[in-house]
Amino acid sequence: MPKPKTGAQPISEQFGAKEGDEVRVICSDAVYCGMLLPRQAKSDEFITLKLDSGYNIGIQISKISKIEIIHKAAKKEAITQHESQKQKFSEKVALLSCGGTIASRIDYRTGAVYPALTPSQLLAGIPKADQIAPKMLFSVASEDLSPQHWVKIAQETHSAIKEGAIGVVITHGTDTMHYTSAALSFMLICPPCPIVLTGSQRSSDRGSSDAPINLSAAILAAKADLAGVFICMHEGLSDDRCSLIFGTKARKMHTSRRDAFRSINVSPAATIHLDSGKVEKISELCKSRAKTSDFKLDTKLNTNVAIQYIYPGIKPSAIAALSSYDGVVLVGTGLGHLPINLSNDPLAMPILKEVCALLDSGVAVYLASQCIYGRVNMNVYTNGRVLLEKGIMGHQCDMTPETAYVKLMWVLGHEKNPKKVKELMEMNLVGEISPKSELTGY
Amino acid sequence: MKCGIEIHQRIAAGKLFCRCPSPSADEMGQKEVSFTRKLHAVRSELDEVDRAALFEEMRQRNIVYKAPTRYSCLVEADEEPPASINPHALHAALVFCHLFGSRIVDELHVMRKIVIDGSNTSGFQRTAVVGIGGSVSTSFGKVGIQTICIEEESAGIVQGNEFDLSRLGIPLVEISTEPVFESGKQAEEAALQIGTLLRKTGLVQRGIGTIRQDLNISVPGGARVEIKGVQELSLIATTIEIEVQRQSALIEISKEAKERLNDKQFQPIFVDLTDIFSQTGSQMISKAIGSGAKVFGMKLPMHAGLLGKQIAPGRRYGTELADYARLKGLRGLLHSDEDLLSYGVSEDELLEVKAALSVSQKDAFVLCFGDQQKVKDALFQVWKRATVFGVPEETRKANPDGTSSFMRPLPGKARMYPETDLPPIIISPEMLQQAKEALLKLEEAQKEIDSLISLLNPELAAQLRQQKDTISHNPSFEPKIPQPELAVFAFAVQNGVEPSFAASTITNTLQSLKREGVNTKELDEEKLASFFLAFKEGLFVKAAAADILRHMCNKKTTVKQAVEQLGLRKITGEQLANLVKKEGLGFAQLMQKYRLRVDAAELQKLFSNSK
Repeated sequence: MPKPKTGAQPISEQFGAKEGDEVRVICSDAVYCGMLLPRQAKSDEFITLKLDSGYNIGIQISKISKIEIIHKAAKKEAITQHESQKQKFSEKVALLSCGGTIASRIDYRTGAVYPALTPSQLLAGIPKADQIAPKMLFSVASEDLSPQHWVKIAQETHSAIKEGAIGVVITHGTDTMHYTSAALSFMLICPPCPIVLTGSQRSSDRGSSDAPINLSAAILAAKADLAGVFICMHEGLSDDRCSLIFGTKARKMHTSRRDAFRSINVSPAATIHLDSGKVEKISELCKSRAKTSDFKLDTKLNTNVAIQYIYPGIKPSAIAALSSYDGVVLVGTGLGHLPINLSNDPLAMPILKEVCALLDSGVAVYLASQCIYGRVNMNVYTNGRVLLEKGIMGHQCDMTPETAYVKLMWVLGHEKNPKKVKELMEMNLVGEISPKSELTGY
Repeated sequence: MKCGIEIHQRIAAGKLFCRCPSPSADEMGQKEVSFTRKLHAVRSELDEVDRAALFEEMRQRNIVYKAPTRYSCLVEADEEPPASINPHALHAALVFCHLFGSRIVDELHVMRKIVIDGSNTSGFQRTAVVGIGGSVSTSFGKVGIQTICIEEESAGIVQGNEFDLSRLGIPLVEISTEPVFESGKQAEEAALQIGTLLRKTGLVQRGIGTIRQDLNISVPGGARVEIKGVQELSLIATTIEIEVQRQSALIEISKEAKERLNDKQFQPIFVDLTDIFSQTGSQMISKAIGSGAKVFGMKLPMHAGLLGKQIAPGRRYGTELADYARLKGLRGLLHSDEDLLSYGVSEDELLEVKAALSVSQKDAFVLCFGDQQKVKDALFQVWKRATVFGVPEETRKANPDGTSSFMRPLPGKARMYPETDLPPIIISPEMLQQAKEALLKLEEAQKEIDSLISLLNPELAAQLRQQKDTISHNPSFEPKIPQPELAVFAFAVQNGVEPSFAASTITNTLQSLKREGVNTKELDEEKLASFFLAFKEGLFVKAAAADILRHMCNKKTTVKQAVEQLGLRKITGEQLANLVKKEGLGFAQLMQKYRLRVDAAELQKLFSNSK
């Protein structure tokens, strides 16, 4: 997400004019009237002028002989971005804002989109907004979020529920939303109510934004008789339904569509019908609301974990370089394969030695599949069995690489014993490994 | 009166911000994908909500989009950011700027113009100023051009809230004149000039709906009104005259109403009249009540007689108010200046209504029926319109009879903000040069054509100039003269074909084939040019032209195939001499028998030599 450039531009100052001034630009061949805007583009050979018609144009500076100021810019009032952090969550849906496109605004002067909407601005136009208690946690694009942010979100969610919130909606950038939803799924133990992450694929400054629909649906889901961590986004291209997806089973599968999030390997938890306000449960795995007394927070993570994609031609040194990590998720091919060259082909570039060295040195290695859909099974081909014998994890699991990565951090945060780590990684804790491969999960 | 026009002409190029092809005029793709959306009003860069946008949001519509996969992709569905601008469309816009002497901007900034009536999936239209200033010559002097913009075509309305995405995103050039016209005739002439100049470049789409005129009209004492979508040039003058008449009438009516009301405002009071009509003989009303509708009325104090005043042909002040009621989904309204008895309302019911609304002789009233909330909303809109006491600034839709109907309030400045998904585009010296050269080439070609046409007799020349839509256009054909018929004519003459034969083949022969029902569009420049080349090479004689062309169209063959299949290869030289010997016939008999294969002049020569 581009960050706005601020400050007046020096070349305009050459002519004694500043951004926001109403000016008359006199060029060798024409005269233009309008408001001087700061530059959005890198090139400093042009100035941007907003004409009276509302259109912007760029004028080459070398053609300008003079800029006359008609009106000086009015002083801008600082936009207050943060509101009172004191919130009463009791009997309300807590709305925790973490930035991203859903909370983004266009900087009309520069044209850049930046995260700046306050939670209450977000709620404008949402029905029954008085039943919602908004709180701004931070305003960060989701590609910039780190595991420390997950911890903060988990803590805030935990305390909001402990303070009586009947559900939690977390607005979040979409790019890494499924990492956060997986992290919250492990850190928040026995959640008594729905914790729903939502975002938008079209920014709130356009008439076609999906933000109001997604937010309305997320609030409906947060009030429903459900418990757990979910992602709630558009189900299809239309504004009539949203899909509620289990937090460990969600993945962003499209760069731009509203329905970018898909439920991987299992049916979505529920469909939310916007017109009727109905939350229709679909999955048998849905849990009902539970007692708050069992609800716990456990944010211990070992973040010294990496993901490594496997591809034809991968250099053995790329694997060897992973030895400084405590855990590695290898994203293998097909059913869970790595190039280990059992057939001794002269052109192959095996990495078996390096993977074995990682395992021998005590690095926890988990194998996921780049197919994304389906279960890993290393028994089917001989080269898979070799890996299994070496102690690689992931056999018969169907976690997405991202969920496996987050889970490995959480497991290594609690356990050092390789045997126990393997046991925990291959055991279903919070729905991340589905008991059976559903016929309708793809 | 002050009037300016905006010409919107589709550019002959693929979509502006994706790589989909553009459908031709009035073509719609098969609608394979359908989805529904809601659009919301948003704050603009001036932190204001545009009144036109707010108005549309108030309508709270579910918009249905039908998307053809051939002519649309995720960009049209607002599911993917725009691709970079189509360079061919931009080139065309630069050519138009040169054509009108408009100063091209150094750097192009694509803007979003908020439009949330559903005609754009994104909630805005992408548009950019390409040129500023310039002029077009008319019989009443030069008319200044304000701006030349390049923008996206909107989605076509199928019906109600349903839109088709076929045409969404087709590049348009928008040419706005200064508001200098003093009469409708002047505006009409300028529009004709601009349209003709654009078409001559060959860079624009042709056909119904590919050009549209918007009018900006201000009447002293009235307001600025934009009338959108005048499709026929000949309607411009009428539309303007009717609008001036409408505004003048409205000014009169409001003056009268204000005087009668003594400058006092009145309140919107809605009265439920459903019970009065429970036994009504009016089929329309009883049917509605039967299906759960409510009837509400509102008094318009001191308005007696005003609602019936004509403001435009076939339109009364009451029609104007009904336009506002319709926005809430009602079919219209009934008012006291209409003959309500003709709708089946009884005298008694009328008396009861008047009593319920406490309407005196000086007052007027309006009645609406339908869903209770809709009726109340509609009456509120009617009240708002009636209390403007003047001409509101409006965007209106042009009707085919020259009148117009209300669409929405005129948008303010708050409707434009930058398209953040596209960086500004620097117009390089190379791009400018290319556009200039293209225009020069076009002008030279035009001159050349003119000189070739001057070889013809005036009648045939005029006929040839007017010959349109007989053959198809093949974009790869050089020379690039926009009118395919003229392009082939030039090619043929330059390759040594006799001008009058070329011209009469293109006009008379093809025209009569068309009349026979032959699809002459099977031919394009390339095919017809190869026909003339084959003639020049002596493959066939003039008399066989019609038969060969007919065969080429009907059987979709090349000229050579047609000649072979029809057995019309020209008999010439030695072959002809042998034929003369073999047949032993005289000139006239031989010609009668071999008319389609023998050139009369050659045969004549043979006969005179042998003597």
